[in-house]
Amino acid sequence: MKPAFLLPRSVAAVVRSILVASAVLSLSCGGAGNRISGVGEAEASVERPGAADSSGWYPYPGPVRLDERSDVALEAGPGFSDVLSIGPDLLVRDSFGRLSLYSAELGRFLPWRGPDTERGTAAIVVAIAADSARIYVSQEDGFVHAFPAPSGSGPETEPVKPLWSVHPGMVSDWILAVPERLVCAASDGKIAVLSASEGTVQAFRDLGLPLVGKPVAAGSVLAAARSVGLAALGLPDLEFLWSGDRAPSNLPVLRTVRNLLAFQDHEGILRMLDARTGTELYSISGVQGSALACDGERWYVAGPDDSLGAFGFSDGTPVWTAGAAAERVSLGAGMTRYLPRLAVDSERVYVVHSGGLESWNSRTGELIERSKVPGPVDGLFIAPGRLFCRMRDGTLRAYGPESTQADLLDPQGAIRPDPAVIQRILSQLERYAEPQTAVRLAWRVYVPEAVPSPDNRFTVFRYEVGEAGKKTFSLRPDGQDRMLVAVFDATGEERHANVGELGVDASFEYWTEAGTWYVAVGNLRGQVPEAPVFLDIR
Amino acid sequence: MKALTRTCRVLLAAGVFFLSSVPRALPEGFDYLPVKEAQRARQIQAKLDASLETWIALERRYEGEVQTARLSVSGIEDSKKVRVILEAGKSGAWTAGTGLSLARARGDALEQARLLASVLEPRLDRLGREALADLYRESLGRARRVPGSVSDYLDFAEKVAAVDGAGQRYVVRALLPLAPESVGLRLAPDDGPPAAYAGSPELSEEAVRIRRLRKALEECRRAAPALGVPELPWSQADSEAAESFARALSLLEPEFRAHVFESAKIPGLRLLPAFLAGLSPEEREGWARNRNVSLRAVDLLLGCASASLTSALEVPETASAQATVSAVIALSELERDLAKGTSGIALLARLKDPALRRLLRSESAPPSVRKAVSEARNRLAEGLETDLSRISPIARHRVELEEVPGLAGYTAIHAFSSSLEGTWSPLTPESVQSTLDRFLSGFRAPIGGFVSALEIGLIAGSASSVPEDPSSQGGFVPRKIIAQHLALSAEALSPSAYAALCVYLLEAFRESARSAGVPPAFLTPPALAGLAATCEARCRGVVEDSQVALSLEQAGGRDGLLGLWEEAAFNLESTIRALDVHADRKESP
Repeated sequence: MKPAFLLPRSVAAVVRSILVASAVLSLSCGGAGNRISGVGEAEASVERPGAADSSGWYPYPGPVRLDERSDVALEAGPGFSDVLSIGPDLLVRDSFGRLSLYSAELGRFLPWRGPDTERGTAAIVVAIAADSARIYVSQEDGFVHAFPAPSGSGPETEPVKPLWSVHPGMVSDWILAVPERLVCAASDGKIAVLSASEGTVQAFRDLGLPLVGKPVAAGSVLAAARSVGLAALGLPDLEFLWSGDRAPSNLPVLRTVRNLLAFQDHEGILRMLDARTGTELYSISGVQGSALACDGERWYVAGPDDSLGAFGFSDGTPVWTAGAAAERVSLGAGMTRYLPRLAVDSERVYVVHSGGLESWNSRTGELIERSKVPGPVDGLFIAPGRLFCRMRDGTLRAYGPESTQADLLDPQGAIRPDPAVIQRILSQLERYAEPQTAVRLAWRVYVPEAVPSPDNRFTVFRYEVGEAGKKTFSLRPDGQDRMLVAVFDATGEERHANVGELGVDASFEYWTEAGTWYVAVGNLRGQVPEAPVFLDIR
Repeated sequence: MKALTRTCRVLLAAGVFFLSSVPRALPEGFDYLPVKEAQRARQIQAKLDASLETWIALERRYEGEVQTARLSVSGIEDSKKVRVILEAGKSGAWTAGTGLSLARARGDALEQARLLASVLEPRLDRLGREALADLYRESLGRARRVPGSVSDYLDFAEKVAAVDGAGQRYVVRALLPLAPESVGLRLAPDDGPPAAYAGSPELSEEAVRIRRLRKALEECRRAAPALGVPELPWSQADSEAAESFARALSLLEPEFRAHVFESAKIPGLRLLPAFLAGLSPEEREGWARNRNVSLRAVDLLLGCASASLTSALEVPETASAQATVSAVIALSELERDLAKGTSGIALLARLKDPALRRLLRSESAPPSVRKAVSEARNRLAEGLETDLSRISPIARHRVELEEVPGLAGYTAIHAFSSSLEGTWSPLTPESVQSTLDRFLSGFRAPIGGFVSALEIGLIAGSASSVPEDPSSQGGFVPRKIIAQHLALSAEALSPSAYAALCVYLLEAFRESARSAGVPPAFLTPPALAGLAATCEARCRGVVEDSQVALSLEQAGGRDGLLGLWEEAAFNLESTIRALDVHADRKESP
């Protein structure tokens, strides 16, 4: 059922385009950063992270409150292997290498199908990436495809035609969209750079050592983590720039903001380097297993002990910190303690840890709200007005006012006829209704001795006639009251009513053909009966 | 003369004994063989069946031992013990105490199969149609009972046998060795399709898949001990075996990858995909790195999860308009009964359809009906309070009703009693249930008579009220769920009430899995997942009761279903324990 608050599809598509375009516009200025003139002193001139940065910052505001939420699961319930934010929607790769798109408009997952294999089945996807215009898919057969960005307004059950396809000579375990290019990397250390528009291979390099995680891009520098330390390559030619012997200890803490590369070393210290030279600019002390995000103004560090702190972007000095483990929540049986996750918009920091999901004022460090989360969360994603938790159990939890309540039933939907028929019945009932009052209908199935639904002016019973013949419609009031009984055929045309010049008949006979009929029973001109009235059709 | 008579008597007695005992001791059949050969074949077959039973029983005990060891895992040393058992199982050295080893039990059965084959094979080409059909049925039935039998092989055998007599003869020959590996090799040999089905492109194509499945199963068995204990560090040989298994898996179509673990029937192996799914993405990458296996291999191992995950569950197609409107009909009837003055328990007795209960929770349900139902529930609560006070007059009692979220549309009843100091303490779900049953037993509905709490969506307490401390008597939530299931399903429930109970338990199970961070679909046996899909559809009002009854029957009835719940609970508990051991080892991601 489409929720009432949703805009018509065409309007929604336009709104979506504007949202995506504005997001892309704000992100695509990544190289130069986004200077935002804010109202506050601190907001005077903030250069925000760019689209290719791995910063944890989102260009749209998340939800103001965390009290509205909904859970959506992938069909058949596999877990997530990859989640990618595309404007208001999310592209998801499940544990079996299938793709789905979470449509914010529809509030559910839609299957998304790339090219078929030779056997005619959907190919297994091993990695995904996206930029403003395309999504990129790496498959288990080694092919990398580019597709137009999905619309999110309907299922893509038929294979989508790729814009280009290329085999870079390896199976790409990770792919990364950088301005105008796509970086493909295999865990054995091979890296290729493709043109984003045509897919041509522009550079290839074998680092000779296995990579220990997805590379990241900091401006025109590609940083790859190896077990022996970091290596930096220039983009697009993959020329070797520098390498370090400090290896990141924890892959989530590998962040980039413009030309700055941040990682956490084995001692837990967060080190900020100039990505072009490898020179350390400053460091922030931390605990192993921390999460890191940056909005271009401050670094936010969430510790595995549930602590949270903000540090200046220019020098790493503390701006505010929230007490570690002050309100550490005891977990129940089977509850797993998990690493914290962060997502940041321009005003709030969202952090999730074993104790729950929290939103904080990013400027002042005030806790705004806390909400319980039922299990481990492996990622936070912000869409306009919404926050998504990638739950490890394979569900997506959405916070925000537009969360749909898909679980609720429309009780009358099963029997309500075509809208044109409804309109026809409505307009004919208007003359029996109280003047200047809207006609309100309830839709029911006829049962012997049916009564009109007490909260509606008219109840329309769907009545199935198996064999044509005369039927007697009789009203049995418990009191003196009589009500309207009007008989409509399947097209909504009124064929008989008990209202005549002499008043309302308690009983009448009428020839009915086999098929579906609609029998309306209700209060004539607003008269409310004092006792129940039962309708019998024999 | 006398001596002769005695001799006659002895002979007669021996004859009578022979006639009466031999047919019972030896199986019938083999009439198409010469008498002596038939008799020999019957003797071998009797021994074969006996040794097969011994083998099956021993395999069950082995499986039980692996399960017990898995459920006792609370540290790395326990996991090592599991590995020792799995190694013993792989080598066949495992014994249940001092008796036969697995290898010996298997060897005995296969030796009898070899002897039987030596009698039957020379005669196969001369067998008539009926005799061949009998032998085929017998061989297929026995092959299905063999521990480790692969249903894909046998399904393929059935297709080949259906081609013609030659196909049937070919299949019988393939089934005679009994060992699943030999059966697979004979049915789909490496050197291309045999004449029996070479003319059928479909069967030839399927034979390619069978060959790939056979290869994957071989690799799986080689890697099994390590795969069964993913929380432990692996040796180089373990990693190579796992990588090689992953390569064999990659040659199989994705939808058949799930068949490998199901077919391998190696105890404890199903833990692996659930374990991997229960790791965070970083932990999973770290797990692969520390074990020197590729990320691709990890993805492939994840893909070995239950078949119910790799294909969307099919909700029965009887989602007819009639089924969909049943809840709306129930609502019409409810409004009519309300107009007739029905109230209290009589009104609650009308709420037997879970789809109707759920419908009444929707905002578009008639407010007056919702109000009337709410009043009826409040009166029930008052009645229960009065009953409780009658039983225990010293204490004061309070009953609270809670609408349990979910498709079952249950209302949980919580009862509290106050101590002399005035503090309220909750009554156990069991005592609430017995009070509720007693209260309802005094009521007879106009239609259907006796009113059962579960039938009308009332349940004592809720799954969330289960003790959270695993060391307490309740244990992990799933075990509590099973106990609850056992107690409640003893009652003869209607299909719709059973569907609601099944959904309620499944939701509690999912909640447990969710808090542990494991996708529940990785833990749910396919048959249970199938039934659950039907039950959920029933609670939504899109299928009829008959469909629930059919699905329940297909899942093995209520007893079979209990086994499935136990399997699901075992899967969850063993996965949580393995994840805990992995986390405690503080493996760097």
